[in-house]
Amino acid sequence: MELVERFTRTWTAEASDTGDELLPSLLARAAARVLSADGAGLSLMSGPGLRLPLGASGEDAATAERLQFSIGEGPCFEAHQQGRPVTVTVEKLTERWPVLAGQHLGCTPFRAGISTPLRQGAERFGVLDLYFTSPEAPQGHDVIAAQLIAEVTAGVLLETLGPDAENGDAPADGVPAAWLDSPAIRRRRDVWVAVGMANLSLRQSSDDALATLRAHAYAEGCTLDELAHEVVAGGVDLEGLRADVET
Amino acid sequence: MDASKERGAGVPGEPGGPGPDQDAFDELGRLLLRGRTLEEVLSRLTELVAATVSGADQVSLTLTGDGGARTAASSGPLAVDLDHVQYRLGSGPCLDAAHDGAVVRVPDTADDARYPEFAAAAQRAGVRSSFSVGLPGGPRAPGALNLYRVEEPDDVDEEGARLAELFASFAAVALVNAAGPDREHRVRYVHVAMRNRAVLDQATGVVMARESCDAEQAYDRLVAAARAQDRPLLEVAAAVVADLDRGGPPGAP
Repeated sequence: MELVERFTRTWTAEASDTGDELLPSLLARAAARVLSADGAGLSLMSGPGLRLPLGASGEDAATAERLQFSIGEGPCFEAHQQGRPVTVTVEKLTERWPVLAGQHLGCTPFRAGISTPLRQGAERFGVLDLYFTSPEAPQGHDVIAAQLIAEVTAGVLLETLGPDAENGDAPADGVPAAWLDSPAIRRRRDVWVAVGMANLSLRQSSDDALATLRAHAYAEGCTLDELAHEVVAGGVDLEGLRADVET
Repeated sequence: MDASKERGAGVPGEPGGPGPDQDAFDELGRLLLRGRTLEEVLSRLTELVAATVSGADQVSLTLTGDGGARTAASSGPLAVDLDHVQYRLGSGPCLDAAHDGAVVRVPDTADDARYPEFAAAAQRAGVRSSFSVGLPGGPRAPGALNLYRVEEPDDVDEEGARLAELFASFAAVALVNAAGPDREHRVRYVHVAMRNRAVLDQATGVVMARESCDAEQAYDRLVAAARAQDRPLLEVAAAVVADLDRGGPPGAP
């Protein structure tokens, strides 16, 4: 059966059983299945700093996303910034992103990957990450097939936005419907609350506050999401983070 | 077949086996993504097929939607000419491939019983074989990708055929995606919705730190401030964040 058809059949077979908010996870699972990947994740991105996890095929894929977001660089960021697919092997990961490599190889079973942008025309709005446990470098046709599925996925996501999306008016209360309010996204929101708290406590710009939180998460050996959750819960002395910055 | 053991199952090529150069494929991906308009993407696509599929000397894309058959993109004039021969005849492999969404091969134009007139015209033009694959988009994207081979009979091999089918899927997806006129608005909606909510969350954090309250109370204070100032909530939140980003004193929400 043709690739796109298999993909569509795979995700629609499950779609009726779940709410819209889980659609991205269905799409990620279907993408992993038809592309013979061992994990897949979908992220929304807007500019260099703003990145939300839409959904993942499983816990390992979700972990891989959180690690990369914690470090703030990696193949997913590069795919979005450059607007082209990025393939990764253990060697390339270790050479290009050594800090991420140390964590990724220690915490996930994945040894190769393809990150390919989600886009509409020239406009990019996210990334499809595919993960493989085999260390073998992804082949050229794997990359082309991944791009094809990313194109289809982007189309499905945009088509399933609420009716108010048609004229481009984002909801004024900042709480859009459907998959833009997935459980994974709700967890990530703590990061921006924590950035705001650090903004004030450390008198830092947003970019610097985010960098400080990232550095502290790394020093503590936790993900940025975990640290942000602690910060929001009041369990972190933000003034104390200044020492991290100044040393 | 256990797909998990064979990466790339269902897509052309065998992992680890002899195949086109990896760099070439990466480059293809980049080129494809750089396409701005539908016309550019389709045009690039026919060039990519010609560059990567052995036996595809000239490539064209036939669309058979409203208004009859037309060639939407091509890698060279010979392919366009042979497409037009078929449109004039009202018969040919590209039309049948488009209609049936299937693969139609003419392995040797010197001897073809199914399309004698097209085969004769192709042979006169120096084309010895052809391979057409219908776009898998169904009625939303009726058409075919056509690969013409000069000099040698025997159309594309198995690897080439699978690659051609993958590219045909690409063309179909590009066509279907381009058909949504409000897609640009929807992408803007995604970006704006993400940023709006991040700003609201960040401003909530600022108020939490300043007033030692929890997230819910902080949000309520932002809402109250917006109401008191008769300004939109987002504007108030954005001002709170912007004050800090400028390094100035945080404005009262």
